[in-house]
Parts: sequence; structure tokens; C-alpha cells
Amino acid sequence: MPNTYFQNYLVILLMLGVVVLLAGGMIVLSYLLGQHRPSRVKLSPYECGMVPTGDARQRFSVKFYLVAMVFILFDVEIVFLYPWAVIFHELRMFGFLEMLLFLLLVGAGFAYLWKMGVLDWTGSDTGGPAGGTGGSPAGGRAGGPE
Amino acid sequence: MVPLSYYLILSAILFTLGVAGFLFKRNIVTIFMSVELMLNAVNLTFVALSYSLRQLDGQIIVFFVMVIAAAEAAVGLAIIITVFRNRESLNVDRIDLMKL
Amino acid sequence: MSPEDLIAVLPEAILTVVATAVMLLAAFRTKGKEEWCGFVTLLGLLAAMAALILQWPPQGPAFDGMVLADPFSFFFHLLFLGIAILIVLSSASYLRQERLAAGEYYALLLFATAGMGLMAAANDLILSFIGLEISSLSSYVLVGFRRRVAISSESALKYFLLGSFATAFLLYGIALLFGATGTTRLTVIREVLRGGLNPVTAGNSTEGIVGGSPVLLPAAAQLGGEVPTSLIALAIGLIFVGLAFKVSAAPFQVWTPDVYQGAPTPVTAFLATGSKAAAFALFLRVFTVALDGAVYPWPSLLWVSAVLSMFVGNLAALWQSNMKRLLAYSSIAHAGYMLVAFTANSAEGVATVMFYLVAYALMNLGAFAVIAHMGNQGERYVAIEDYAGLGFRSPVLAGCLSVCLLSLIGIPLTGGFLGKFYVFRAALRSDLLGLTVLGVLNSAIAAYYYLKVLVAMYMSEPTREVPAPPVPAAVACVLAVCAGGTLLLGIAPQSVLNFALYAAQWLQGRM
Repeated sequence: MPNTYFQNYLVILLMLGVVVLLAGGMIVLSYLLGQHRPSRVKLSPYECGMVPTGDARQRFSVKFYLVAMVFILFDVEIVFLYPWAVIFHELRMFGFLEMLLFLLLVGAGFAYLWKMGVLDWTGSDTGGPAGGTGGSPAGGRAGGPE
Repeated sequence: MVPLSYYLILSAILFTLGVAGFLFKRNIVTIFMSVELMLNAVNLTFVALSYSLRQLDGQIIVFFVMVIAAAEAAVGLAIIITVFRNRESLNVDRIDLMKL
Repeated sequence: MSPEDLIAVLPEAILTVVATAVMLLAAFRTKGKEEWCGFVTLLGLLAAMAALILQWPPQGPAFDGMVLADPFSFFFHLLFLGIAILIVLSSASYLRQERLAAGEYYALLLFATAGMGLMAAANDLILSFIGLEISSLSSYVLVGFRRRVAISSESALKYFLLGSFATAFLLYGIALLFGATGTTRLTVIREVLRGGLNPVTAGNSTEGIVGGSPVLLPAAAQLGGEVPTSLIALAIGLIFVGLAFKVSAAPFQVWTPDVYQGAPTPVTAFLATGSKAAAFALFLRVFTVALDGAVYPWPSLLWVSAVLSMFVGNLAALWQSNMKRLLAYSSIAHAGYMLVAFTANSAEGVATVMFYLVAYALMNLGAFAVIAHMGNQGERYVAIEDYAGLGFRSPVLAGCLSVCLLSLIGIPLTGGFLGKFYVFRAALRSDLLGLTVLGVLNSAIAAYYYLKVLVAMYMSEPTREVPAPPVPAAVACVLAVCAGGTLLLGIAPQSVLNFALYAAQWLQGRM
């Protein structure tokens, strides 16, 4: 049985081969046949557009991490809505109230974050969001007098 | 049909890779990623078993594990940032204020 | 969902709601929020305790067998809530002194307590796992709560990395057990392993979350209807690794000293008493309910771990000069004593572990309350020499610490003595003579380092000036409860022990 199952993938394998050949052939052919006259403009990262300044390896503001963490949390919490939505009608009122409660708890977390200034992008870097610490969701403005 | 054992072996390999990464890597973020790899290996086990046992339990469990992993990631990143603020380093060998 | 279901999780529901309320209170209130948060937290804990009364007399399973509000869970709920109340009382002055955010601290403490409650009540491995993670994640943050202090964040990092590592092992064990038996419900696993149920159909024999889901294909019987023993053995090993880490038993104890030292002292007390008790609750329930010790060889695993824990804890503690580190090693050793009783694999052994946890919680909370108070700002005075002459400077404080330390040694008339006595009795009744001898030997070794502190307090001159601030009323209250409770357990242990025995028999009766 495994054999017939894997035979289904044979087509995909064939297609993969064709794709690799085609793409690889284009690159190799253009390399072999084309003319090479590099100039400063042609070698710049963006041939048209901005001239890049500075090094790409900069330190990011910690706010990015903070927003990323918050995003992951809320993003994944919402995963529970999918199985719930599928059987929403079978669950009736109980399921609705249950989900309402769940969303209320998630909303409470959101209200907390909002109030603590985690979503505030305008604050200056030193005294910025979450009392200038930003590091820990447990910290926040309340950790103030230091 | 891919046999169950293939999935189980694959997830065992992934889990072992996670353990190895945890033990041998020196960068905190990499170590943390190894832990996530272990959790995802377990998720694969759950899904494979759930499919072969014809039960949905295992798949629901995966949802919960994913959410827990996300919460863990948030807490972990927060802790890593506080450590970095205090020590300016992400190498575990240098996080050594307390020794036996 | 029926009202019975709600009652079964009412304490956790109250704790969660109050925790959320405290969190929002901390964010939205500007004036006097420390007092408010502490007050609301205490009220919430008391309300949860009151809700617990509704669970008596014990009812059947709730949520289709996900939750068991049995006497075992009742006992542990009382213990957790009691511990949390004492921690809150001893934290208020500490938080003010260290200028930490009280609202978030209390909210995390409440979330952790709710998670522990779930661990004790869960009859489903996944619910246990979620409870464990709720309490663990809160603890990780609590450990690093002094985030400006390098060692605190370092502790948090170590706890977090090693904790999530161990959790992954536990989860893999759960997955394999699920694969072998077709269910995560502890009582159903027991039936499957006894051969009563077919693993392929087990999940559909009870109404699970989706237990009643239609069977997509006829039972393929991939596992041939038989339970693969090697898979179970592997699962037991992995689950053991995860739980041994949480109770800080050797050889998975390496995190304990560092985490206990760097964490804020009240949090250390919480980890040493609450987290340990919750992990033991889960340990006891999983192993005694689901996995028959007579068939599967986990008692021998526990035997090795118990001996290692006792020796590692006691021998390493001999060299310590930091009080928190000393108690961390002592906590490893005490986990070893409890594992001795657990190895006995009997109802008496289970009851003894429960009794020991209560005694241990009281004496440890008392000792840590003194350490937190003595530490002063920034936890500067936590070395043993800082306790020199304490017996003359503040006799009451020293007296309370002495009671706790004597109980930790196991001197008669204290809870610690009876705890050890019951441990060794349970071990002897299960013919574990070698283990008992090693345990008694270890108790003798342990006396040395506790006596070192006592000697410092009463027989040596202070080497440097250590301030002795007045004891706040809340801390005094905690000390009185802990010292009094320790002595009371030493004189009249019957009520606690009988209740523990009743709960253990209830647990075993379902075997």
C-alpha cells in the first residue's frame, strides 16, 4: 500500500524536475551567453530607488520585540475560535457564552496592555512605552519609582 | 498511506535534535528555539497518533500545546530581554553570577 | 455544563477572575493601589476557600471526567490556598521595600495558584499539563520579578529554560501514553492497562471533549488491540523526568539552588512550598491512579531518585553560607524524603507524602518569612553570619526561625519529626529497609547544617552591623501561624493525617 501512495507523488517529483531544469537553464544560459559590463549603478542593491545608508546590522528598538510577543499571543489565542466556529450551532447558547467569556478574558489582557502603554509608539525611547522598560509584560509603568 | 511508524520516528528524531540543540548550543535564543522544536515534535506525534487512532482528541491537544508554546515564547522572550539588559550578553556561558 | 461542573472548578474560576481584576486594578487605579491589590487578592483567596466548601461532600467526576473534585484535590486545594494567603501576607512589606509592582505580582500569584489547583484536580493529562504550564509560566515571571537585579533575571532565565525543557519531556511522555492507550483520561488509562478496554476504542468509551465524535473509519487496530509495554515504559520514564524536575528531585535538581537564590524571597517560599506540593499532587495522581506500581517498575525509578536527592541535597547543603541556597539544598533533600514515602507505593505512603507537604509548607514558609524580613532592602543580609547573635537582638524572630529549623531537622514535638517518622514507617511497612536506613542516615547528616544556623543565632557574636527593623503585623501573623502550626502538627497530627489517609484511600480506591 505505501508504494501506490508514494506513486501519487511521482507527478510532483516530475514537475519539480522540470521546474529546476527550466529555472536553472535560464540562469546558466544567460550567464554563458550574456555580456558582462558591471558598473557602479548596476551593482547597487536597489538599481532604482533609495541609496542605502548605514549598516543593516542595527539594534532594533525593544518595542518591536514587545509588539511581536503581544502579536503572537493574541494571534494564537484566536486559534480556538476555529474549532468553535465549526460546531457553533451544535453548541448553542452554552458555547456562545463560553466563547464570550474567553474573549472577555483575552480582552482584559488587551485592556491591560493598552493601559500600560505597550501599544504606544510615540513615546520617546528613554521614557517610552511600559515605563521605559518594555522588557517584561510584568513590569510596566507600575514598576515606576526606581 | 504513510505508516504511523514513519511519523513517530520522524518526531523522535526531531525531539532528539531539540534535546541536542538545547544541550550543545550556547546562544540563549537558539536554546529556546530547540525547546520549541521539541514541543513541535511532540505535536507531530499527537497528530499522527490521533489520526491513526481515529480520534480527534490528539488534534485538539495540539491546539492547546500551540497556545502554551506561544505563551511560553512570550514569557521567554521577555526574560531573555531582561537578562540582556542586565548582562549585555546572550551567551549562556557568561550567565554565571551564581555558581555551585 | 451542569451546576456540579461549575462547582468543581469554582475555586479556579474565582481565582482567575480575581487575578484578572487585580491586574486591571493595577493598570487603571493610580492611588493606593498596592493596598487595594493586596486586599482584593486576600479576599479572592478567601472566596476560593469558601467555594471549596461547596465541593464537600465529594462528588463524582465533572466535565465528563476531566476534573475530579475528590478529597485528594480538596486537601491540596486547602494547602495551596493556605500557602498563597501566607505568601500574600508576607509579601506586602517586601514589595514595598523592594519597590516592585504589587498588582502584577499578586495577579501572577493568583494565576499560579489557579494552575496548581487544576493540577491537583485534573483527571486528564492534558488538563494537568495546562495547569502545570499556567503555574510554571507565572512562576517564571515571578522569579525574575526584581528585573533590575542581575541575579534575579539570571534565575528566571535558568528556571525558564530548564523548566520548559522538562515540560517538553513531560509532554512527550503524555503523547506516548496517549499513543499506547488511546486516551489521556487517567482513570480510562488505568482500565486500558488492566486489559478492560481496547486502546483503539478507549477514547470513545467515555465522553471526552470530542469523545463522542464519529469514528471516521472502522477501528483499524493499528496497535493490534494490545498495549505495547515498551512504549508505556518509555512514557513513564519521560513523565518521570518532567515531574522530577518540578519537585526538584535528583538528578534533575540542578536549577533549584540558583533559582531559589535569585528569586525574590517570598517567591522562593512559594516555589519551595506551593509549586513543590502541586507537582507532588500531579505526581501522586498520575502514578498511583493510572499506572499500577505493581506492574510497571516506577517504584524502582523513585527509589534511585529518592536516594540521590537525599544525598545530593544534604551533602551540598553542608558547604552553603547563603541562607536561601541552604534552604534550596534542604528542599532537594526533603523532596527525597517525600519520594521515600512515595516509593512505598501504598495508601499510607501517599497519605504520608500529603502530611509531609503540609508540615514542610508550614516550616518552610516560616523560615522564608524570617529570611525575607531579615534580608532588608535589596536582600543584603542573607548570609548565615548575618544571623549571628539574632537570638539576643530579636528573640521572637529567632525563636520562630528556631522552631522552623528544628522542625526541618526533625526534632520531636514538631511537624517535621512526625513527617519523617511517618515516612520511614510507610517505607518499612513496604519492606524498603535499605531506603529507610539511608533516609535515617541522611536525617543525621542534615542536622549539622541546620544546627550551624542555630549556633550562629544563639552562640556567636555578630561580625557586622545588621539592622533589625520592626516586624510588620502581617509578617508577625505569618510567623505565628507557621511556628504555631508546626508545633501543633507535632503534638496533634491526627486530624491532618486522617484526612490525608482518607483522601489517599479515595485515590487508591479508584485504582
